[in-house]
Amino acid sequence: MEILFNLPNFVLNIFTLTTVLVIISGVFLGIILGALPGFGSAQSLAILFPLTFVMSTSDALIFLLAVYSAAEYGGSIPAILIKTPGTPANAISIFDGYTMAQNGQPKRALQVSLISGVIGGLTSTIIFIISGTTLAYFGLKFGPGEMFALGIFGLSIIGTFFGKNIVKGFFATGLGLFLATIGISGFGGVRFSFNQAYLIDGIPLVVIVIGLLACPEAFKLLIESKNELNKNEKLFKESKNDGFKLSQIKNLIPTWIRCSMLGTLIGAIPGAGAAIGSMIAYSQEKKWCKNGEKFGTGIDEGIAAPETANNSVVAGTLIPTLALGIPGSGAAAILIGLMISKGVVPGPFLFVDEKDLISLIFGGLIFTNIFLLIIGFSATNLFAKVTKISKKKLGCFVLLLIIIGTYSYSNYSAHVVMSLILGCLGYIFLKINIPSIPIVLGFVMGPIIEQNLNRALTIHNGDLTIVLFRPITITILIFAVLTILYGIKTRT
Amino acid sequence: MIKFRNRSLALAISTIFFLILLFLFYETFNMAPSYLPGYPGDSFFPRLILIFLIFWNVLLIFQNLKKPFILSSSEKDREDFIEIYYKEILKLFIVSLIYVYSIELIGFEILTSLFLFILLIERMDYTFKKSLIFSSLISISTMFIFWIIFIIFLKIPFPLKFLPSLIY
Repeated sequence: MEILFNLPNFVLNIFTLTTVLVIISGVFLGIILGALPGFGSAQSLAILFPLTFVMSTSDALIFLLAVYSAAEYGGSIPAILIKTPGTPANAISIFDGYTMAQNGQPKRALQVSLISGVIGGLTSTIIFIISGTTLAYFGLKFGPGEMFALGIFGLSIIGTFFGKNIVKGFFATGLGLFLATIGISGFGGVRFSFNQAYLIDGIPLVVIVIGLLACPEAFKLLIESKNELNKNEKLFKESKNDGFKLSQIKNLIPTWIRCSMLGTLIGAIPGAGAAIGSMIAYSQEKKWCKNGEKFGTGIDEGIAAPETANNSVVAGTLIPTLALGIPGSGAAAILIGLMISKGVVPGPFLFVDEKDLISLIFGGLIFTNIFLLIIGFSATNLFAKVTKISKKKLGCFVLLLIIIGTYSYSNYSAHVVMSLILGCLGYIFLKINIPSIPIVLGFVMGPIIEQNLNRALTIHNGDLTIVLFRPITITILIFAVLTILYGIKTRT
Repeated sequence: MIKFRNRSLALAISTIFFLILLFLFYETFNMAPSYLPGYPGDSFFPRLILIFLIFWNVLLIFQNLKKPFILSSSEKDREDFIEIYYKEILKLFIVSLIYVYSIELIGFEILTSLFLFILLIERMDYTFKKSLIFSSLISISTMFIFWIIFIIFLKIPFPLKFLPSLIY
């Protein structure tokens, strides 16, 4: 609560020229990258991650959060205009968004999507600060054994629900955990370095993130860009009655409230993510809404439901990410990685030791959504043009950005080579449906889980049974096993 | 381009991974023992992970055998053919390697423009002459934009040959 009371001061602090510029550039770049088909929020963060190397911790976090929020909205632009979702979470917006655009109201569809996204973002930000603080309060009572179990629980959800196939999901998660063990162990030893200097410090997160999330997309853009949009095809069919009117807002309020809650809740579950959030919100709103039977015919509620939910997921994801150190999505894993690289340890102590940073994140999210509304409204036509960018030409710039971005981390060629190798692996994984995001999540969570396990074992003289059979630990671990069993039962 | 059956490629990849994982598991026996009371040693956690990974890897192998019998998912595309554009990927990989390893020698300015030019020229939809002009212009202007962002604004010390670095 203290964080909330101190908020006005922090909100004033946020209004420095640098922070405002950081938010504006984050929103702008986020919408553009999100609008590129195939570029999800995680991929957008991966590509822009190198830009945070020289930023302060707070600016870097706010920048990535702005990109994250804006990319979730940006993805709806190609979904509505050309029936190609920018992010998987926007796929459901095609049903009503694209239909509305085809009915001659593309601007209205884009505006409903934007306003809903902003409302979802703002509501979930408020829920985040209240529930995050509460969750962190409980988290503070946890010892290393319980935190280890929580990490395992997070992995069980990630492995079970990421991707189409549970076996591939867990294989990818394990691979991420393994990659995190390469290099110095923390107790002086070096693991899996094979006497190679470039492996002694381990693989940097930037290499993993760029290599597995951005590189395969760059290869795809450069190689497989056959289905490009015809340059002369018109995106907008001009219509006089196009546009969302303020008087129509009241009809959408119930949808916004329900879907914000739902989206935040789903975002708080590690592994669930925006795609599941928007899908569930759409199907539930279809039942709850009085116009439910008209869903799919191009109505406002049909766009508002998924778009509110997928933007609510952003702040929802931050709840377990910041309060417990368990990333809820690929984008959250990148945020955790950024914090660790800047010397900030995510987890319950963050809410005690770094109150300023938490307030700044809170304020940053609020302003991000306000700027998203302003920029989104004023530059709708410009962002719509992004959908017409030639993919094969764009791929050239993305590949260059990947190389320069990785190289800038420490001016070390080996890091670029590692990224490219991981990129090739990620490309093959993409082909055989092995998801890359669990690898990133496993990589980020690996050291957290290992540190907590080692700490718990050291406290209990190396007796694993004492660590595992403490009441809270065993309860969490049982939940992890039940999650996997549920996944096996329902997903095979 | 090579065409593979999705299942065959997954089987080949998982088998290669299985062999690598076994080797890595063997490697854990060469790790430093624990000197701290209670600390299980450097090899403890990697071994746990490798056992976990080998378990799911074996399931993945079985899943991709001709008659999948374990945890077979609802993926309907396992019999589909997938295309791997290996020549194009190899080309991109080699061009990128040349860029990275020659940057000290040739410098950021020339190499970045050249790298982008090579990638762009074969992706232009114009006549050769027009493509040549457009690719050159875009490559050089992009190099300047990247120079401003990464070297002037982000102050990253890239090896430069003639442009000023302005890093202070």
